[in-house]
Amino acid sequence: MTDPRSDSELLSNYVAGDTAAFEELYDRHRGRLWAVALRTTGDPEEAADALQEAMVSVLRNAHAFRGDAAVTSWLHRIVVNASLDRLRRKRSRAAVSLPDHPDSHAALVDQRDRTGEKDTQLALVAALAALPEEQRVPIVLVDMEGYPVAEVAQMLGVPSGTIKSRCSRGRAKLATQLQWLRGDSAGNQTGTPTRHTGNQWPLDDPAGEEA
Amino acid sequence: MSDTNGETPTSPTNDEEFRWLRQELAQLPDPPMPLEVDAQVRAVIRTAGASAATSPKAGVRWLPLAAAAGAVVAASLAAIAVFSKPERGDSINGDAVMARAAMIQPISTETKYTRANIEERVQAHLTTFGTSEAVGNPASDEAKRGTFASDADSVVACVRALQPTAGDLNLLDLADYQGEPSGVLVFQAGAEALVVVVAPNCGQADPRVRLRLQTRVAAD
Repeated sequence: MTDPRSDSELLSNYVAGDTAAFEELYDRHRGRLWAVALRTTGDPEEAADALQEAMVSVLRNAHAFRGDAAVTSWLHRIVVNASLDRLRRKRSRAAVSLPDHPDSHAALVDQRDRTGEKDTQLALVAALAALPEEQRVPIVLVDMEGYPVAEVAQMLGVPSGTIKSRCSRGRAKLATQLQWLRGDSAGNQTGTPTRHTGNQWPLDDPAGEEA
Repeated sequence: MSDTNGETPTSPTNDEEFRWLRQELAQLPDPPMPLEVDAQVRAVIRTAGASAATSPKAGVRWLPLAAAAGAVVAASLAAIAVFSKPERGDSINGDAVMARAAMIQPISTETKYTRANIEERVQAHLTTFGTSEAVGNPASDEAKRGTFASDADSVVACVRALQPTAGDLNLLDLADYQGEPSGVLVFQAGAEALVVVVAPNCGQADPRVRLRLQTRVAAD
């Protein structure tokens, strides 16, 4: 039976002593939080550690949550912070090299997908993983997690213009590798990408009609 | 994430130019969470949650990735400390303020504070997150070495020297202020906050204050 309590209620209940309420909250959001950690760190082990650290931080600071932001935004922010911290610590220990082993990319893809969409996902993930960290992280936060540029700038401690510039360069690099995803040989924008929606537009059909 | 200054912002049409790419990225399905990661996070939640419920000042129990589910090991991350929040309204020189100062987690947000932006930056941190620990980015041992944030006693010595006029020390950020390595401390009592910027060698004999200003943050 679905728990009818809102996220805010679950958090309040936890603060009031209902420890099971927090696990319910975690259940609701763990998929997205894992995705955020994994995409930000680019490494499954770092992501797992970041997620654990984030959950502990949430548990310890639940009483301080002021409710100005939605609970989900607050949870995401803490996971992003923990992930960025993992990246900083990793950077300080050794030169950071993004995982290039296919298994690392596979971790970032839904392996349950048996259609050609998995190839698309793998291509996207591989291209994203190949970006320098300073471009990949802003793209993950802005284009995938939907944070405003100004907020990402604050998270990363750089000006908004720097975030825009890094996103621009990162997108340009991704675009050169992923042009085939646009589905139009003339290179024109064809609206909402369709590879994930089931309306497959063959690459060799510039009219975009279904086969 | 450092970068050279003076990067040119992108054209406003960049977002439009790459709309197709951004949509592809946004529509990537979430990768599945490995079962072992889920089990370990749940174990951490149950252990840390139980610790918080029964003993607010207990240390964090940490479950490393390789440990079997259910195994509990001693805390290895001093950056994630449990603290008990002093009651608001305590004497500014009371034991509660010093106790909070002794347990605060110094952070390094890498914010470039200036006189022009410090109020806004501090308000943003506290309004959204409330405390250093929630803001994230715990300061590394390297960042703390040789500063007043290197250990709890040194933090307390600095705080004593500051004689704050507002309540709880809720933020201790080792960051640059006006281009100089500094400590940014924020003492908060309700909606009122005292922001103090000190040099890294703030101490009981001389707090080495660089800035002291009163501001307001969102009340509880």
